Amino acid sequence: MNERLALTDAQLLSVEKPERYIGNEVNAVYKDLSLVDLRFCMCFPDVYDIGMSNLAIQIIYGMLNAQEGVWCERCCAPWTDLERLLREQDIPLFALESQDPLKEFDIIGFTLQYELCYTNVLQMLDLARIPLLASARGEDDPFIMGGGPCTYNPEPVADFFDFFYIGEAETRFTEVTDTVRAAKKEGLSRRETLLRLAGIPGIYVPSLYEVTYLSDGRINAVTPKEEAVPKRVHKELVRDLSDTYYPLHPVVPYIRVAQDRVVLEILRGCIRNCRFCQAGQLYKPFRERDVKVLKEWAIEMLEHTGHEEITLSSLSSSDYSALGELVDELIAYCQERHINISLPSLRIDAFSLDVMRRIQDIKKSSLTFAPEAGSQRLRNVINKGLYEEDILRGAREAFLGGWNKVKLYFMLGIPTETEEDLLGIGDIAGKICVEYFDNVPKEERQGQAVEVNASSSFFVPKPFTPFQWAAMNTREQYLEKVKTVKAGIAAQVNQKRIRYSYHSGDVSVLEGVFARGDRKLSAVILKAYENGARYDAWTEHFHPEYWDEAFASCGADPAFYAHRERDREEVLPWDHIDCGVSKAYLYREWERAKEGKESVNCRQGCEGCGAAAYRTGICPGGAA
Amino acid sequence: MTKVRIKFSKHGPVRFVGHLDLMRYFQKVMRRAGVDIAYSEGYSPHQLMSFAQPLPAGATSDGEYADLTLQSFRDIRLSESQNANAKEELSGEDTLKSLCLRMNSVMHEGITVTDAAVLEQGAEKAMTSVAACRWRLAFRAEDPLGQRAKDALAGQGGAKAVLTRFLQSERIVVRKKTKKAEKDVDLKPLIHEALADADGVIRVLMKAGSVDNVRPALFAAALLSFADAAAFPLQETEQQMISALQVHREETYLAAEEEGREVLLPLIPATTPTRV
Ligand code: SF4
Repeated sequence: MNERLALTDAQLLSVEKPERYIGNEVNAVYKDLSLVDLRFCMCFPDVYDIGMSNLAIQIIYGMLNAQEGVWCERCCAPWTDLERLLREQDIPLFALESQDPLKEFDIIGFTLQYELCYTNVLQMLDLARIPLLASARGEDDPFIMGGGPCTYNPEPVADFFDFFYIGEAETRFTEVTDTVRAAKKEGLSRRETLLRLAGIPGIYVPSLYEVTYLSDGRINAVTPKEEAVPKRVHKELVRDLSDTYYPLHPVVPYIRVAQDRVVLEILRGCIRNCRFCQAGQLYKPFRERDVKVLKEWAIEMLEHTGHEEITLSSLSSSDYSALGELVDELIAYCQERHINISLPSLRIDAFSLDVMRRIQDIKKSSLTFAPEAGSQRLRNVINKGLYEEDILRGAREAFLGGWNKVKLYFMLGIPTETEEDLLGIGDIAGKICVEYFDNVPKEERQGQAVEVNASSSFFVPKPFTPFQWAAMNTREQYLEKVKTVKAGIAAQVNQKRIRYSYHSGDVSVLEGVFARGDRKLSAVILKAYENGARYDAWTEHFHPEYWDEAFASCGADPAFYAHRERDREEVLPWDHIDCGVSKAYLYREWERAKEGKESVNCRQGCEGCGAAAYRTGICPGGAA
Repeated sequence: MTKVRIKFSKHGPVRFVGHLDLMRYFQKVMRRAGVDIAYSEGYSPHQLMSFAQPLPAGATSDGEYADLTLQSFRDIRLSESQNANAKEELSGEDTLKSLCLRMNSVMHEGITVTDAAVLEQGAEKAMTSVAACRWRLAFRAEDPLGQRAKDALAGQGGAKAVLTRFLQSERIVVRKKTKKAEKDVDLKPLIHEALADADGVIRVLMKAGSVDNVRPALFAAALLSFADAAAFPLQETEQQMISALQVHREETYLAAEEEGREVLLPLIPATTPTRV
């Protein structure tokens, strides 16, 4: 326990949820500073409630603290009330455990989980009194490190970071901390240390690369400034998920955070090859964890956290080959202890319905389908591998099993989308209602008729997907499409049973700009931050005018990044990062998408994406 | 099923953990410690556990209480035979002691179970039996209102002198806001005793519970308002008191009858037969 707090009682009592800032949670790690020679602060550029729900933070925290001589602490973005207080009373941002200012640390690591958190990185550095630009940092400043899904195209934030870790943390993190420890002992300069770090596989030091541009603003080339610096940085990846670090004693927050439960990650990667999905490509190849190991971990984690719920985490739980066995084991343990099991991202079929029936009360849950697109043609374009008859059969079985609520997720703005595809959303919702009325006899409806909730989000093309070349819709196009969908639903006989909601899409264009942005955007982000932008992912804090002004004053055009289709030859800002899938494969998939042709999933066959080079998982020549 | 009352303290940074989060914290403690707590019936079962009286935000305490309904004293993390072995070595008070040890071994350092007792059949719940609390109160110099309060009391001969005059008043009328209406309340009969030391730290025993509850912030605001009504308007002062007043609960009491007179006893009286 650390009795000392950075804030006075009066200050803590004047902000919302002071528990966000006091540390001392169950399983938080405290070390004797005299035995520590590397201080790491794991930062999350959003509020504690979100940050402490993040698995990567728990993994890195536990993994680093298992090392002698290294103390990893945590810090999340202060909520707006505390930010105000820190500024007014001139208090530097501090870490949760020691409550010491961030500036005293050796390395500050940010996990970048979504593009809209970028201004909060600046907010945290600013409050920590660390120069925002890497080029302005001196020998005494900490190294600012980035990791997480956004770092597969880190270019928009390249100016703010000293280095990025590309890939899964478990493999090389210790090498990073060892290198910085050694560099400190040897008295190496900042630049010498960065050069050494650049030699570690998976480490990308943006300042060691030169980016040149064509006259139209597109990239000409990205080249290393030094011989020893690799031309391309390859993603790091865990080969054996059953034999790697996992946080069995995760920190248990006092407040109810977004993920207030044990998170058991059962697999990584995805077999599905959906063309819109970035995660599916980034985490390839598909690798599963051994069911025996998972069972042991589950019990260990439940006993050391006291959580009343465990969730199985993955991109697609149904694809876990031993799901039945795992669920049986967990039910046996959890039921008598009143622990809930939650199983998101299930494909709805007879098997999953049976599983759901056993783990939760039917009345509580609604069924979720993610057709993503309204017509079979467009589902083929995105290679969803989900057919209307599957959806209707799933819904029918569910209705017969006592469910009566269905959620449907769609994306609007998918490349090649037509009016017919949009009207298809109403059609499929209508057909699901018909399944209900045709199959559930009146006397079994118990006064509750079927309820279909359709919702749509704005499709954002992402790097390392076949749609990385595509033009994103404008906000106006998107809102037009919403109207068409509404009309399609209104035309249904059962339209009263269908509800439709859609994301406003205000921030989606910004997300699209950053997702495929280049280094020139660092100036825009900095300007927007100075204008007051932060917590952009929070609707109530999002101010488009800060961004409009920033783009205008930096002479950057959002449409250049978001709404422009790229051609095959263009050098993409992330071409010097290798996530394991080849550009040739992605382009092949992009062409097939435009022809509406499907590809197989990794279990049915191999499309030769390039990830087999990792020689693990489901790929030909892999372990599984 | 057995009902057990535990007493616990709350110190250090966890003083900022609010009441609802503290309840969630204890639910997790039960599971970490393998306590065989009973669950309610019905739609979404919850642990049968109830707390005596919420602490104000930021307050520390040595006198917190909660009632637990246990299925058994066994450790549900252990097998039947392991439990049987453990049981052979334990009896009566030792089972209670081992329950406390088990909880403390998985608790945060700032929260400690300090006492436990088996409740008799039909004993009144901790929540409804609260009759009074003893508080230790100090104004915080780092807070503007706290500093003003300290200055004002010092300017009038010190906290001790002001408190003495305050308690000698015939009536201490304050305007209390409830959900429905505002009404005048006389605090005088609700304050059992109060004294201040030379440093201005006030110890006060006041009514608590669901009927005549006096919150420490109201008491402190009333005292300041008594000292200087113009400088410390009651309601405003009370509202700002949260950051100005350091609050510590020393003990929580229930009312009992002894030889025909009402006495205040700690929620686990020292004379309880089955007690750690
Ligand atoms: S190499 Fe083949 S099996 Fe492996 S991820 Fe790529 S497509 Fe799937």
